Amino acid sequence: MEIINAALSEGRTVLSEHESKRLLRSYGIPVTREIEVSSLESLKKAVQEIGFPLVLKGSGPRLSHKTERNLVRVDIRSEGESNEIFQEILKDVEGEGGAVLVQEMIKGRRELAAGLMRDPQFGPCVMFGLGGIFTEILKDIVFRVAPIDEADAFEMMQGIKSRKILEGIRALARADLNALAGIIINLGKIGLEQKNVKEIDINPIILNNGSPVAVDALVVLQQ
Amino acid sequence: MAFRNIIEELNPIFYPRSLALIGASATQGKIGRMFMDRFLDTGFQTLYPVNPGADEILGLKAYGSVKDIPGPVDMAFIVLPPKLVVDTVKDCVKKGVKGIIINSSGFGEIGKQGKEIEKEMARIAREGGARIIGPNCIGIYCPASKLSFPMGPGKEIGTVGVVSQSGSLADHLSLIATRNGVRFSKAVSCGNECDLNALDFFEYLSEDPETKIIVSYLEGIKEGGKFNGLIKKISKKKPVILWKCGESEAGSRAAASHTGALAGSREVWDGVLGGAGVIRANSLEEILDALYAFYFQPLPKGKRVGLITGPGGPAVGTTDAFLSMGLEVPRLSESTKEKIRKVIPPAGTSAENPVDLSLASIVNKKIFSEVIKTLSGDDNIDMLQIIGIGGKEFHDIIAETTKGMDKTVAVSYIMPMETVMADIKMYIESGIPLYSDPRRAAKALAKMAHYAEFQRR
Repeated sequence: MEIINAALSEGRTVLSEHESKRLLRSYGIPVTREIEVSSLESLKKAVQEIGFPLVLKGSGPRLSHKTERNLVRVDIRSEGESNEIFQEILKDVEGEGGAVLVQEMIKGRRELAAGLMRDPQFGPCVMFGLGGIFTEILKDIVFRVAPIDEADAFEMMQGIKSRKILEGIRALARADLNALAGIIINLGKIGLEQKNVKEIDINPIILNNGSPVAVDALVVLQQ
Repeated sequence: MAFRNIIEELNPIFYPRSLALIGASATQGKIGRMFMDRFLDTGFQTLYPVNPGADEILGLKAYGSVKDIPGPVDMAFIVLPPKLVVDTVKDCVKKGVKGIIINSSGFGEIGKQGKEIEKEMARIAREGGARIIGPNCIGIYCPASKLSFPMGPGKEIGTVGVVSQSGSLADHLSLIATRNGVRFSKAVSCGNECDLNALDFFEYLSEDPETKIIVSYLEGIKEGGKFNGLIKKISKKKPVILWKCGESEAGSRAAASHTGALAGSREVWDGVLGGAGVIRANSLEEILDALYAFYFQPLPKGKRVGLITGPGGPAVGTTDAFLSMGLEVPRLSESTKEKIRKVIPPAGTSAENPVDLSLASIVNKKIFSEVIKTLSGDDNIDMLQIIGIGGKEFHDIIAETTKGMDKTVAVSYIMPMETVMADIKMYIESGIPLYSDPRRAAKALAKMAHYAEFQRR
């Protein structure tokens, strides 16, 4: 795959958020609409295309710990605000060859997580579960070995303790289970087809009126 | 890929007509003597002790080498110091032995050099048309072939198959279970798996028409992908009761992502086994408790439990147990409750589920029979758990009223061990599992219900 080969040839073992999402999108996984920019000019166009409110994030192949570095700024509502924040972020990241990601802001109160890893005994395994900042603490997750079919994906979704959040509860729309199943199944496909992909994190997947959207993603590579 | 007829391939190993015990001994305290005793006790017909230091062992002619044996030798059971084993394997292959069981330890489990020797032995065997079980194992328990384990489990032929990566677990499990009325088809102690491995035996037991339930103890699987592909198919055919051990990993995985860091061996195995409907146990007691239920009772058609207890105390805790395990303790219909109210004392009892028959049921056990009959006729109930205080009268009533009933039944006592021990033979004969604690009965019934649901999907 082109994105992967390019990164590997640069000696990188990680794809940027933007590159990671391009890979996921090519496998039919719904991701945020976003445009990467590094000039005020392109920012202006991007902001018009994405629309307010939006999110601005530092972006770059070697960029990590964005939240800690205050490189994730949400709920930006005007051109003036976006210009200002764009400058702030760019100043911080351009030294390491970074840019700024102009991203649609997904509204939704439920966060899920999905991922991929390679087990030495079983090969590529897909993870699904409760997302957000407490994922590692609550560990409400399940694993299955790829290939994963529809029945497996639905079983996984039923297998988490928090499965009821997928239902229509408290005025929140029912989750689009078929779309979620698609994410799980396609992660499995990536595991089987893309030998250079070592691990994938997708967290959070926000349910926007029930429809899942991958808001952040990380793809780790291997030779 | 050529279709593998696993039954044809491994039958010679499970049904050997002749066996050479290499390292046989008449000396008490030696393993070679222990296995001699075992084979003589089961009456294995064509047994050849092999020991260059003796002409005769325990009344049987002994041979200096397997090659000296005049007739055919289907199986070799090797109990020798490790340094003699490779040459012995070569001799066995020359003799045309089909199945070689190596009890000897001191190979791959010790280190790299041992692993190399194992590979060499496996190669020699394969090239010579033989298969190896072990090394470092206790062999096969197959009542139909008069092959047995060291502890000497029961001799009757049955339907439970075992694949165990722990020899002593398989040994103790089969001993205890056969004492409690369970009968086995084949049990295998896998040992170091230098040739045949746990997956081969899983495949065999899955195809074996004699085997209806599979019990297993696993620490790891060599062909993970293949296992993952097969285990669900196997589990759909026959219940697999599995104790998966060895969860803690020496050192954490080097993970570059959160997903990688979260994926411990246990989480991945839970995913593999959970998706396959495998029945999990975390101790010998849990394996046995589940086994008694699966062996003696039919699978339930649903998850609804009818709980009947003498004095009511344990009912509440047991109901909690059932609910926490995902089963239902449903309300009874008015007509059922009416029928129950007709036979139970008006005070100190409850006609609701759990049905509390009060102290009166201790002195008048016939109350139980009416209530059990009523509940067994209730279409809203799939399983019955009856809690009582023991004794022949109590047993006879239960056995009589549950006969021919299509519901899954388990009985538990809250009595001293001696009472349970005294009564257990009666329950075995009636095919009703008896537990010394209602919670254990609840766990076993829950496993049955979840497996039945998996099978129906």
